[in-house]
Amino acid sequence: MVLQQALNALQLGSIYALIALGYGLVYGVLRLINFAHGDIFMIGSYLALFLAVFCRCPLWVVLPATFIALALLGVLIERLAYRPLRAAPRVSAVITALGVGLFLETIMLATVGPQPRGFPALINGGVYKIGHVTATGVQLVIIIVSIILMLALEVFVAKTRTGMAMRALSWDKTCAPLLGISIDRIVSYTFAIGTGLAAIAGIFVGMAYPVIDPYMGIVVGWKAFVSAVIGGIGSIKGAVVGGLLLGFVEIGAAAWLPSSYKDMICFTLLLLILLVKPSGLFGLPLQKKV
Amino acid sequence: MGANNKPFFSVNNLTHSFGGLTAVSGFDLTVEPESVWGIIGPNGAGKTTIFNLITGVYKADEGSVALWGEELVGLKSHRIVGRGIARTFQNIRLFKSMSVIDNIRTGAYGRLRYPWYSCLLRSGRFRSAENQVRQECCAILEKFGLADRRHQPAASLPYGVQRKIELARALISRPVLLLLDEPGAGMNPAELDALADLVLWVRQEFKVAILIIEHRMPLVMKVCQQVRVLNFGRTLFTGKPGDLRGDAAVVRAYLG
Amino acid sequence: MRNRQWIPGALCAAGLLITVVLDKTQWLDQYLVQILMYIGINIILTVSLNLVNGYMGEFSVGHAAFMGLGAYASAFFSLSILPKSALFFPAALLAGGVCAGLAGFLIALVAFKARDDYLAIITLALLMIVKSALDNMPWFGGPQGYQGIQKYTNLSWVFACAALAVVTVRNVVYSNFGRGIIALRDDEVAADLVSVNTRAVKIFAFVISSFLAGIAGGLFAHLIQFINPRSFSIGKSTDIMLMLYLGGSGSIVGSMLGAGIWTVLLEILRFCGIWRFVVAPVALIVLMIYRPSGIMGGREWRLFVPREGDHGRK
Repeated sequence: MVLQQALNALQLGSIYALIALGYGLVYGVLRLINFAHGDIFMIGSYLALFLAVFCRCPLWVVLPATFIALALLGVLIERLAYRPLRAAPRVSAVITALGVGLFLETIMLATVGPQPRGFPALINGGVYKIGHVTATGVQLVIIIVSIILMLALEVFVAKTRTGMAMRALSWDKTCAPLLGISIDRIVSYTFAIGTGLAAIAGIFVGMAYPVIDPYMGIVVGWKAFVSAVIGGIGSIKGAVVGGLLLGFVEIGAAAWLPSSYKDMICFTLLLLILLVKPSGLFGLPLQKKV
Repeated sequence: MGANNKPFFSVNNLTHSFGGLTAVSGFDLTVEPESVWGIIGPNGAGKTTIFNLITGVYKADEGSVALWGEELVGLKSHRIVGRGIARTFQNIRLFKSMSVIDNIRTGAYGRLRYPWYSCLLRSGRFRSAENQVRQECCAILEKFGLADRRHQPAASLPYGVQRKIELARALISRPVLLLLDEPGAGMNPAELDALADLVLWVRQEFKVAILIIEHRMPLVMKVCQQVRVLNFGRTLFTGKPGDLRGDAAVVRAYLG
Repeated sequence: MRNRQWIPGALCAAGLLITVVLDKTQWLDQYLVQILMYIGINIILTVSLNLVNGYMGEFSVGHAAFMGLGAYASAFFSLSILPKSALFFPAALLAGGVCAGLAGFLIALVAFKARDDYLAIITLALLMIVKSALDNMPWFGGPQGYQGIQKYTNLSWVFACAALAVVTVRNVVYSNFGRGIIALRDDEVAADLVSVNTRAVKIFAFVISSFLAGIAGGLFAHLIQFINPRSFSIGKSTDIMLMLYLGGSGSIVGSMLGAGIWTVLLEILRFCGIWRFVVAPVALIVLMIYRPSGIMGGREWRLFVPREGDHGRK
């Protein structure tokens, strides 16, 4: 029973972590809380639904196709909405992000309507029994693909030139251009990766909890944001740990309390962690400068 | 020695480090009322850190700072200003969106004591307190020759004028000790000369003791009665400015 | 300049008289009255958010939560505690404001720590917690909403409260506290070092702001007579921010213009159906890119500046 719940928590936590990574990457490079990120995740879900139902694409096509399409959308949003504000006060960029999120949400409401839609399983993975634990194929795919993506991201950031440039940028924005790093290019890459990962998470949510609606980005997106903050926003390790932690807390809470309490518990946890450790579990404390 | 035999202002064994790097170690200083002390030293000697420790921006790892024998370490910055220590900044830090007079009125924040509801009701108490501070601000602007500029936005004024506004903002809190952090930075010799006169005039007019961090020796020579030379957080020299040139350690630190 | 002092007071009195007459005689079309009341409520919300997000330069996204707390608290008081009479409506409003203000106080105690985005994150969490808590309170109707609230709100109440909110914010801004608030925005460290008790100032501004949002919530509840947790979501917060930045933060007139223009615009666009809500965020983005300082750009009409209030007159 406990192991079964742990498996469910791992599945939910991986999804949170995938979205949280996007928040963290963008925050690290631009110091921007990308409030639109949750809605990008929702768009990913809808695109995957479209591909799966109308184009009858199998999972191995839907995953990369959605990743690439949403990565492009992320780059486009950055170009149109955030780049003109690079030099503006930070608050303008944050408000713009809120606006972009609301725009994506309302445009989906206006086009596909508010009613929830069923999402196909995409794979016929069957059910596996190990002792008392039942794992569905969908669950295993979600957990395994998430782990592969996180490892790939870790390698990308640690080993590739672009990844190193991303890290350089998040350490020192003024110095990076002096080293020949093109900020615009790196920011585009960051948005592409972040939104791509969110899109994958969107597919997974559809597969696992097979109903999607235009509001899903709000709740799941905010919780992923909470994961990023709990872990220490800007840190990759933090996003993963935060996401998993939140997944376990939520599944654990649902075992004891009515499920309508889980939002409250999740955000109260955020408050408590921030009170004890304002920079999150793995975040760097910031010092005031005189 | 001042009232009840307590020293006017004394710093004992002040020590502070950032991570592993010791910025200030074992700094001692005793200041007489209305005297002018200069603190000089190469970049990174810990001068500004000392000011930040005295004014409560950082909390000292060790040591004490006392005004009339009352301990200041551990107090919040705004309380320390209330006790009578005001300062200016190395790079001028005026409130950019405010007019000149409001910059100075903000300096009197801690002295203006009326309860929050009287500002909502605009009560008589509110009016008389605000009026009084406004008059004081006008008076101080008058003294600095800035009366006709009081409604201009502070950020739009020339550098030298901004220095004066910052000084006036510090003085409106009625300090007994004034800390000036490189007031002469970026000034030409003529301006520096005028600044020296200004500092001496401030001391006399407002009856304050002054601690001054400065690189420009002509200013130090002209206004300081005592000079302290620091290098890497340690004291190299204490004495009259005139004796500076003869001191071997100081020459070594500056000329390498 | 001196003989202009009576104008704001006279305007308030005249406005109150007119709205009372309008309420009694019902000369105006009810639809128009409805819009005017929305404008008034939005002015309260915008002007109060301006104190924190505009003058103080912080970034709170939780204003809808304070409005919601005020709405629920005042509805609870007028339904269950106070006698059922319009006479006690001010007490219900006050109760809403006080509850919201108390919540604001608690949040302010913990929210203003060192980091930049701290307040945004904490107020976001507050928003979610409040909504989730209301969803889980069956005696307030849970997700179905709180029903049976009397319609006590009328044009004169809205006008009186909006005028009170505007005067309150004006009086705070042009006072010692107001200078502290603006000093904080310009340079927090310097503010502290010239004797501003920055923590107290932040808490003060935040409490005033949330109190006023609570009053707006009370008016709202007694206007539409039915509230549910979804009315006070992040979307509502975004609306308020939009009105604030449209008019121009750091300006009282700006907040009033922003609230007025935005409310009317949404009504005009009603024929667009759901698409009008798509227009709102696009307008916000375009505004941020092309005129981030809003309509007023930090300026103020002389009428709203007390005689010796000054700040940076632009």
